[in-house]
Amino acid sequence: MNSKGFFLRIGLLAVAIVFLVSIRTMTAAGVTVTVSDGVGTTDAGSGGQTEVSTGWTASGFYVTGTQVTISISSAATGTIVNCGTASTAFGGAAGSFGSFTSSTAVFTFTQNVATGTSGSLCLSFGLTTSTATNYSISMRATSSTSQYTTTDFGAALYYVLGGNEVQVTAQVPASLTFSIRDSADTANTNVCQLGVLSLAQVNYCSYRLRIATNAATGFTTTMQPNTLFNSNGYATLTAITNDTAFATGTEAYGIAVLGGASSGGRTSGGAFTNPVNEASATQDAALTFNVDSTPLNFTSATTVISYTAPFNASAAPSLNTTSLVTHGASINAGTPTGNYGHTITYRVTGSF
Amino acid sequence: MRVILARSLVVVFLAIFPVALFAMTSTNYGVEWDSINIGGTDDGVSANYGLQDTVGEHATGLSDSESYQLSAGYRLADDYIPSLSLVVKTQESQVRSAYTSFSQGGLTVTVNDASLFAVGNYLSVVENEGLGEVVAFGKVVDVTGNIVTVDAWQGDVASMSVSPSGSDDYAYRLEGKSAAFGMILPGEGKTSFTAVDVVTNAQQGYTVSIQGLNGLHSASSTIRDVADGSVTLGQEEYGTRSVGSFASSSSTDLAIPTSTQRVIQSSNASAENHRSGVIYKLSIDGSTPTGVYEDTVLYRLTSNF
Repeated sequence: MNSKGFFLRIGLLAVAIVFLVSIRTMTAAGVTVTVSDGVGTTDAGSGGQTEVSTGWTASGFYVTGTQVTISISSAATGTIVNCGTASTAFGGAAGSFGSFTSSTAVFTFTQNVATGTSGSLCLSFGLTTSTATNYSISMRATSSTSQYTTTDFGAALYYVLGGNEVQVTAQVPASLTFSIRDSADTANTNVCQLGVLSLAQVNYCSYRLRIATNAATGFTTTMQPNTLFNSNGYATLTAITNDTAFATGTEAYGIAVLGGASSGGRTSGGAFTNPVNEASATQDAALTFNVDSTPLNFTSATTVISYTAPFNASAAPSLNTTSLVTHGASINAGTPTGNYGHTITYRVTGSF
Repeated sequence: MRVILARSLVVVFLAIFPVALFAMTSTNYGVEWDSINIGGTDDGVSANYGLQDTVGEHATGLSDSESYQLSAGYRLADDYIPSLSLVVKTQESQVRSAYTSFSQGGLTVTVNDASLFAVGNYLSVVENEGLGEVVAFGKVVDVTGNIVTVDAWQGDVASMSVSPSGSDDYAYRLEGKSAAFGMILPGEGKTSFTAVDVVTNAQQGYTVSIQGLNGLHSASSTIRDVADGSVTLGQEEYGTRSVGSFASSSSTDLAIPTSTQRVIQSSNASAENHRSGVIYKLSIDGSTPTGVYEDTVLYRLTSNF
């Protein structure tokens, strides 16, 4: 072997030894990064300096001296600074920030950080802007010893001025409809013919109240007779006593039945299955507009039915979502002859 | 022999200090990052020139498999900056133009009023506007005469007619933040549209999700969420349909959850302008409470690095 070959082989051997010695364990791991208020619902970005904590979990061992670079894109409007309470620890391991620019800041650990340690670092960014902006905040930590290198990296978005928000809006105009319908809900009507009264029977007539509204808090319906039930001022039929039955041969007039709509009221769940509210004894014990008689011995506007949410009348004809009003009359032998009548005015008021 | 020994020492030196040299700079020039195989130098300085380069590396970058991740390249850990970008652009209901033709291959739409659109705007083309509409969208790269050209179409592109036949076909500018249904009456169906554009270098992809803050609500009422897969005319329902090749569940109308997030777009790879769209849909009935309704929909991008 000549000397040239000898030294060449020595050199190559040295290279191989050095190469083997220099082999190190290296890990590069993407980590899940979180930022404080990563939702976008709380936003201090329009006011200038904004403190944002960037958090993650170390995928490997960070030795003392490990540096973490926190970057923001687009760049802040000024040099990044420490938070009001400066970050001094990550999961209990001490360190501090330095090397501030408008887009980066470098944190240097002065203690080891064990694998799997979770923590966060806080920085104050100048995010003064008048437009919606989504900032990318990233971290990169590189820890290196003679045995290994750990590189963690990741990013999350910080939403400013609703950069991730869409406002959805709609306007629903108010609506309120009311009509007096025949008893089958097939046509409008404004008469209720009791016909010729006799001692042999009780006469009835009926009509329906069709009410629909999208008033958020419902509606109230009142009825107001212009007079008592009379024969052009000459005689007045005796009003039925509340909750008593009409009887053949007994003079009486009034509401025989008020059958409120059994469905159509909007429920809290959005269905339209609730019945209308009939006026009851809690409102006036002498005027209970429900399944039995109610006198019409008043001339003031009196509530008969109501509901506290929108009410939806189904397509006509509907016997469930309309309210049936039945008048009854009977006479005795002393009832004066004549044409009896009065006009009842209904008013529906939406509670918008 | 001395020459041979010197060369050997140089080789040994370079093997020991493959990364210990420094970037090159000068007053007038700088070249970022250098390496020459394992003998690369980082910094070289002269009076007028600087060099920071890498030469001789092969197949650098990040790659991964199910079990392993490789960071290949001398400078990789230094120059890899994780990044995310989420753009959310919503239809401006008052900035629209009727259009007369749509070209899928030509990436164009011919509109009646091209002055509404500018290069850089996002644009949507809505055919048969309403609950059954189809939508294509893209980013404007050219406006010449009445022809607007986009960089790429996304959405219901294959369903778009070359020449729309009705009077309910419009091109909208997508530079807003409010999906405004406007006034709605029973029996009407209203829509709006938001485009989402994602850029990220996260190798394992990303997820975009939406969440409503309170539902579509007024001071006293909340519009019912769609629950049967379709917002139907005459019924009180509110929901969305996603469109685009990166969209999730694009065949049905779904509610916007308020207590959880719903994924609308995802990928298991990095993204360069991955786009999807969200069509908001609303229908009411005669008893939908009157009022001014609003909801705030949050879009969130989560990347998987």
